[in-house]
Amino acid sequence: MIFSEPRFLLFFLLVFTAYWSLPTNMLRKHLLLGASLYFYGSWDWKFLGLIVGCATVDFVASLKIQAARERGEKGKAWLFASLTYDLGTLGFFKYYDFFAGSIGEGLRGLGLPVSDLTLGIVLPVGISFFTFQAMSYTIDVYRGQLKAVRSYPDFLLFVTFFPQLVAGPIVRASDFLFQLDEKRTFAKVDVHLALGQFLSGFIKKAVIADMIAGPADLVFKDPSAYTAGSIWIAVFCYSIQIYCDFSGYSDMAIGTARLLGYELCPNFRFPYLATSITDFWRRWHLSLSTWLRDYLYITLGGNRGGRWFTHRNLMLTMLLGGLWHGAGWNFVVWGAIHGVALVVHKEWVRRVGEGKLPFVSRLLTLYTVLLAWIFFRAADFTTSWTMAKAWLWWESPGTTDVTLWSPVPEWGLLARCGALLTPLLLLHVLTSMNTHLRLRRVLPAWLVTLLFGVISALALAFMPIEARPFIYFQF
Amino acid sequence: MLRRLLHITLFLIGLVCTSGWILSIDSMPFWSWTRNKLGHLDKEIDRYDTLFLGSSRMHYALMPDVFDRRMAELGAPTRSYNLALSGQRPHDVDEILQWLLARGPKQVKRVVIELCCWELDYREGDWMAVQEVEMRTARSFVPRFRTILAGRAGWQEKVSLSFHHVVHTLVNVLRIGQGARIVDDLLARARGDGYGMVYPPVAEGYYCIDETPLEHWQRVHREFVAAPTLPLEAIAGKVKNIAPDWLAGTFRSEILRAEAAALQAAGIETVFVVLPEITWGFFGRAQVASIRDLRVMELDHPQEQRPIFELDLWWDPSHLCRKGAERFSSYFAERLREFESLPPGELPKPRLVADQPPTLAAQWAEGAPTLGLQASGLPFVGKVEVQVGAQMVDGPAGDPMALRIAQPSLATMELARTGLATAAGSLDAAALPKQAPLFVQLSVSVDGKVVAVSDPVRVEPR
Repeated sequence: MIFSEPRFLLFFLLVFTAYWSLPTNMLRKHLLLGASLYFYGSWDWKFLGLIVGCATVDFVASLKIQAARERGEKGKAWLFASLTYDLGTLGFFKYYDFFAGSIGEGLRGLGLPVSDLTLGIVLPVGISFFTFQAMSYTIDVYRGQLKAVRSYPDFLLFVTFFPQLVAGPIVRASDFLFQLDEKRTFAKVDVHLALGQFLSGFIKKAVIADMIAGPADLVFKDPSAYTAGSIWIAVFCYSIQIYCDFSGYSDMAIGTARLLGYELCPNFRFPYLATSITDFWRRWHLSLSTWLRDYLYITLGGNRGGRWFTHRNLMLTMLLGGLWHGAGWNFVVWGAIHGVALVVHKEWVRRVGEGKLPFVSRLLTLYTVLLAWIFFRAADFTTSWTMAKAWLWWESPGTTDVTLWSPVPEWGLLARCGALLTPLLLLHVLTSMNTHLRLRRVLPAWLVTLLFGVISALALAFMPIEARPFIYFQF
Repeated sequence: MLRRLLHITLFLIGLVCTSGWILSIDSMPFWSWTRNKLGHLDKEIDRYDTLFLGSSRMHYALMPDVFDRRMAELGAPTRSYNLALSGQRPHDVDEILQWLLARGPKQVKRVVIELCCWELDYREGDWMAVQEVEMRTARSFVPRFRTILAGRAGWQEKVSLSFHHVVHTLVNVLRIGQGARIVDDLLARARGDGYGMVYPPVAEGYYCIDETPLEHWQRVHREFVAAPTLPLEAIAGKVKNIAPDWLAGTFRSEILRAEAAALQAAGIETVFVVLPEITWGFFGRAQVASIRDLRVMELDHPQEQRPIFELDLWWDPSHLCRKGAERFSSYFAERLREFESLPPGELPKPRLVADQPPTLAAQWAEGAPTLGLQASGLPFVGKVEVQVGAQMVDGPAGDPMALRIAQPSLATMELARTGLATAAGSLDAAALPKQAPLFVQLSVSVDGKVVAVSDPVRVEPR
């Protein structure tokens, strides 16, 4: 069940109606918990045990840590147990096959007769998100930044809360748990704001991302047939696709949560307008980047050591961040590119200073980010390298122009590209600028509602009939 | 509360009005392979005076060029187009008809519509198939619902069908996912290209099933050829009018009447046709009889439509192969000419005989004065008799049913049917002349009237 499917809209309508019909906060929380478990179980009910298990272990461990702290101890063993369980689960389901396959290949490369070590493990949807979310809670309790919650249903709801369950934002317990105790009424819900955000996300995902995916899919499948221009277009298309797909999901998640009276943290802030790669990570997938900063980079020592120590920490954080996205060497390379770029930028700032040549800096940042997307998206290194050469040196591996918008075949590639991309870019800008908020300031409420109806009809018409799964579901 | 309701209403008004506007600019609302045939017809509608509508059975059965040629030979030249589409159900055909009428066809004089059970509205396991969605309009919402309710499915299935129906209609009415296609269409129209993505149909809308690359059809054909006794048994069952109970589906005669009236108002003649099929169709004959005043041609009685029930004309129990389509198209033209000359409610005379006359083989048994007789290619009904004579004579000119055995004959015997179109028997020839050749001829009679005769066979002396 994904947010842009009619099935979800029906599911949410039922939950929303039932939720606000219930008289007490307690009942509403129980309903949300049931709905969240159903939502997750609708992918594969067999994995329900996994998420419930993860939540249970962290709940118990945090209580034990809390008790230990009250006794004046640290409760390190319980933290260790919790992290072992979470990372073990994540490692087994997400990385076992990757490492076993890589080791097997390496040994076979050395001429050793090794049979296939992989197990063909199915990746439970959203595992990277909910394990990170649960882990952060236990660490916060261990660090004394948070008191352990005593209500198991509340904690289970925090881990399984369906709007952000499968693709984030990665919610911090400190931002969410207190909301569970707040008395909420529908009158307090800003429906325009929530609906507008949901609609923005819906347009980004269902209209822009899914429509623009076609040319990218085509070229990434076999770039050797295409011209350098086509490869550039494909990289641009993918960049827009992944941004709109992921930020669209986040917007829908935030909008959905708002309709239920909950606030989730923002996840994107115009990342492609970043002035530097460091700035990019302050704008892209904020909940992950801050998680990595707080729980990995700082744990590794952050910038408390010397220059090279800081660079090492940055590289390690980005490499692991890459690996978090997927069990594949391409993600490691993607992380490495970002790591190197961050190190180079740090050195640049140290030597030259910050904020010089902002326009050039923006372009260079975008160019680097898009180069990294090639490795992120391509199926193998041959594909990545072919595309990277076109991206870096305008080297055309083939002579075909990518098919863009078939009804105007007589137009040149650039014109077709413009005709396709211009409206999508405009939409992208409009939705990303929170236009619905601006509209609300200048138009009467009734007209905004009417406009929402009009925009909904247009968005439904321009979404593809078959919804594509969100890209970040695979992580 | 009132304020909330007002906002919900405003939201819905915005949604519905915008969808309505999108609907109004979408002049080619079909987006499956349906577009191929309709897109062509949209451009060339004034070229045709006869249109055929229906399902895959019509789609693969009617060759417009053969039909037109035969009609011309019969003195009523036509220019026809096969508008039938694989997977079309009666409600879908109704939608196509409405689309056609909305175009105000000037040259079309006759529309032939295949009759089919309305209960077949859904394809099992085909949730969100394009054809499931594209045909569901606001106009057909209630009629389709009534069909679901009138069907014989259990309540659980009815609930499921109703849910699918509501969702599919919503998806189509809101034009979900069709914006890009509508823009493409508008651009193509503006350029004067007709509708985008239309592959012009070959052979005036006829598609040859023999050339299908689809594995489904290949498999069905292999199964059909592998077990020839099964279709023969099925035809035998139909001849005996043994219809399984479960085949009596719902029959929405009021919609058929409305279709006929709408066409008549546009100056177009309607002919409904029950197409031939080896297995049973999906409704009882009594139901067809109840709407006979609507001009219904029934071509699914094997005994009465003998020329199109040879097994080598069929690809599978429901679809004709190329050879069958050729035969059927010509045959249909002949039947249509006969049919249209009759007053409403009357039916053309049955054709009990295949195109080729029955064949008879006679052979002496070894060591016994017995003549073994084998007949094949027989009409599916009738008494099979053999006459033996010493001489052969010329029959009266122009009477193909005349016997050519000199009378009085030396012997007569009735052959026992051994299969649907075969019969056999043994004649004790002890009393027959031994030195001279004998002549044997077979005749088949229904109610005392000869309907088929074989060529005489000469049997050499023992």
